[in-house]
Amino acid sequence: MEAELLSVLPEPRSVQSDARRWWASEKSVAVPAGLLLIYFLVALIVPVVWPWGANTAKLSIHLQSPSWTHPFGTDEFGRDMLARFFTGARLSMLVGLTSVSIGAVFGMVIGSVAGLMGGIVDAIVMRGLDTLLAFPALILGIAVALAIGPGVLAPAVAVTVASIPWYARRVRSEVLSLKTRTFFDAEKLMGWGRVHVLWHHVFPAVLDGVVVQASLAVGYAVLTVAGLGYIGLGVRPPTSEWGAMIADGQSYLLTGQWWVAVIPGIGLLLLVALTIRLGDALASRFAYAV
Amino acid sequence: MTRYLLRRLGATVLVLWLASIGAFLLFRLAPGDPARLVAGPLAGPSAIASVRSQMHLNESPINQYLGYTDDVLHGNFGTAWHLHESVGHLLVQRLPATAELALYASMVGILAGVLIGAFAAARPGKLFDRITGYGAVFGLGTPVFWLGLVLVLIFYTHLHIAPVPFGRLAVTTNAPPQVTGFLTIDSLIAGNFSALGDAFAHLALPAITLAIPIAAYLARVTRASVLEVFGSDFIRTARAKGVGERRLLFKHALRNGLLPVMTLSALSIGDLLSGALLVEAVFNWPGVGGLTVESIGAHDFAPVEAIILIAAVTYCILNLVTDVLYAVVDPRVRLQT
Repeated sequence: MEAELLSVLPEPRSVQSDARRWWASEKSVAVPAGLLLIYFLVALIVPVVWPWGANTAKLSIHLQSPSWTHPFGTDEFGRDMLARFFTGARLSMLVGLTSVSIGAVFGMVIGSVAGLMGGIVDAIVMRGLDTLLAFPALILGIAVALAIGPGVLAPAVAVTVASIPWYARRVRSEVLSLKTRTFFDAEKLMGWGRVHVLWHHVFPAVLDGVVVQASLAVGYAVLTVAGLGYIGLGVRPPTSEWGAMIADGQSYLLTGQWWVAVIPGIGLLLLVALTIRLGDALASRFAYAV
Repeated sequence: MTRYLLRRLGATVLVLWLASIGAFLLFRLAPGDPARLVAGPLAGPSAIASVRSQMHLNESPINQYLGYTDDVLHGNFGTAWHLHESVGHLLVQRLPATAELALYASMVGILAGVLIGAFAAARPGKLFDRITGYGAVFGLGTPVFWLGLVLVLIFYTHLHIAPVPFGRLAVTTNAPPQVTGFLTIDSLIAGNFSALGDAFAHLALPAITLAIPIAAYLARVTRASVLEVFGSDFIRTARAKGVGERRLLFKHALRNGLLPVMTLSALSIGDLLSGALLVEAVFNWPGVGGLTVESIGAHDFAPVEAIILIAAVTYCILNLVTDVLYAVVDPRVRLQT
C-alpha cells in the first residue's frame, strides 16, 4: 500500500535531476548557443594573447603553409593568418550582432506601431518596407557603400537597413492578430495608453518571433558583409576582414597556396552554420514557424 | 482575378517608383560630387563638367529628378568610362551570360532542393533526413564566392576535370553565331557540338556553386511543407485506402506541399541576383555581375547605379509573377487584401 502510494508521488528532486531535465529539454538550443559563445570568446581573446599581430608584415615569411608557429599559414605580406582570422572573426561577429540588434529594435518598433495604428500610417509604412525589400541586401550594401564610401560603416548600415522589413512585417502581422484578442479590448476599457500597451503587452508577445528572426538574420548579415568585403566595398585594408581575405587569397589558389582563401571561408561557414542551427532550435523551442 | 491583378500591378509600380526615388536620392544627394564619382578618378575638369550637365546636376532638384527619370526610362544610363562604352549597350551585351547562368543554376537548385526535401520528409529522422538536414545548414551558411573558389581548387587545380575558370568558352573553341545569346542553345542551333560541350563544361561549376544555397534553402522549405501535409487527414485516408508510400509522397503530399515552395523559389531566384554578382567575379564570367564587380574595382559607378536599379526591377517583377501565379493556383489568395 505504502509502496503504491510512493510510486505515484513525483520523484524527489535533486540538483542533478534538475540539471538533467534542463539539459534534455534545452539541449538543442544550448549546444549551438554554447558553441557560438565559445567561438565569440576565442575571437575576443586570441588577438590579444597571440604573439603575432594581425597587421605585422614580414615579407621573409610570406605565403608559408600552415605550421606549428603559424597554424593557419601566412599571407602574401607574411602576416600571420591565425591572427588575421580571429580579428576578422571579431569584426564579423561585432558587425553582425550590432546590426542585427539595431535592425531588430527598429523593425519591432516600426512593425508594432504600424500594426497598432493601422490606417494611413500602416499603409505608408508598408509601402516603405516593400520598397526596401526591392533591393537584395548585397545590392543595398553596394548602394550604401557608393553613397557613403567604403569602410566598416557601409556594410553595417546596409545589413541593418536590409533586415528591418523582415522584422517589421513579422511583428506587424503578429500585432494584427493580437488586436483581435479579448485582452486587447480589455486594455482599451482600462483606459491604458498606446505606449503602455505597446511596452507591456505587445513587445513581450512578439519578442519570441523577433529573437528567432534575429538569430537567423545574424548569419545573413555576416555573409553579406563578407560578400561586400570580397568585392572590395567592405572595411579598408589592412584591417582583416574575412571576405577581403578570401579575395586576397583568390590569386594564390591556382598556384597552390590554398590556405589564404580557404581558411577564412571555413570560419565564415562555421559561424553562419551555428547561427542557423541556433535559429532552428529557437524556432522549434518557441513552436515558431519561420 | 482582374481586380487582384490590377491591385498587385499597382502596388508593384508604386514600389518601383519609390525605389527609383530612393536610388536617385542615394546617388545624387550623397556626400561628395556625384559627377566626380561617375566620371572616374582620372577625369579632367572639362570631362567632369560634361558629365555634370549629362546628369542634369546644374539644374534644380526637381528638374534633376525629372531628367533622371527620363534617362532611366529611355535606358540611358550614361557611359562606362573604363570601357568607353554606353552602359545600356554594355548591359545588353552582358545580360545573356548572366541569364544563362541563372537559368541553369535555378533549374538545378530547385530540382535538387525539392527532391531532397521530399525524400527527407518521407522518412523523417532517418539517416537521409539527418545527413541532408546538416547538409542544408552548411549549404545555407556557405559564402557562395568561397564555395566557388573551393570547387575551382578541387575540380580544376587538383582533379583537372574542370576547364580554366575564365569565361564561358575556352579560347580555342569557336563561338557559335549569336542567336539567343545563350551559348548552349546557340551551339545547338549551329549544330556545333564541341562548343556545346565546352559551354556546359564552363557552366557546370558556377551553376552548381549558385545552385547549392538555393537547393539547401528549398530542401528545408519542401521538407517542412511536405511534413505538414503528411500530418493532414486526407493523407491518413489515402494511406488507409492502401495508396502506396511513393505515390502518397509524390502525388498527394508533394503536390500540395509545393505551393509555398513555389513562392520561395521565386524569391530565391531574386537572391540569385546577388549570388551571381559574386560567383561571376570568381569565375570571370562575362555577365552583368562580373561587370558590376569590375566597375567597382575601377571606380566606375555609372554601370553600378544602373545595375542596382535593374536588380530592384527584376526582384519586384519576380515577386509580382509569383504572387499572381500563387493566386492562379490558390483562389483564396485573391480575396485577401
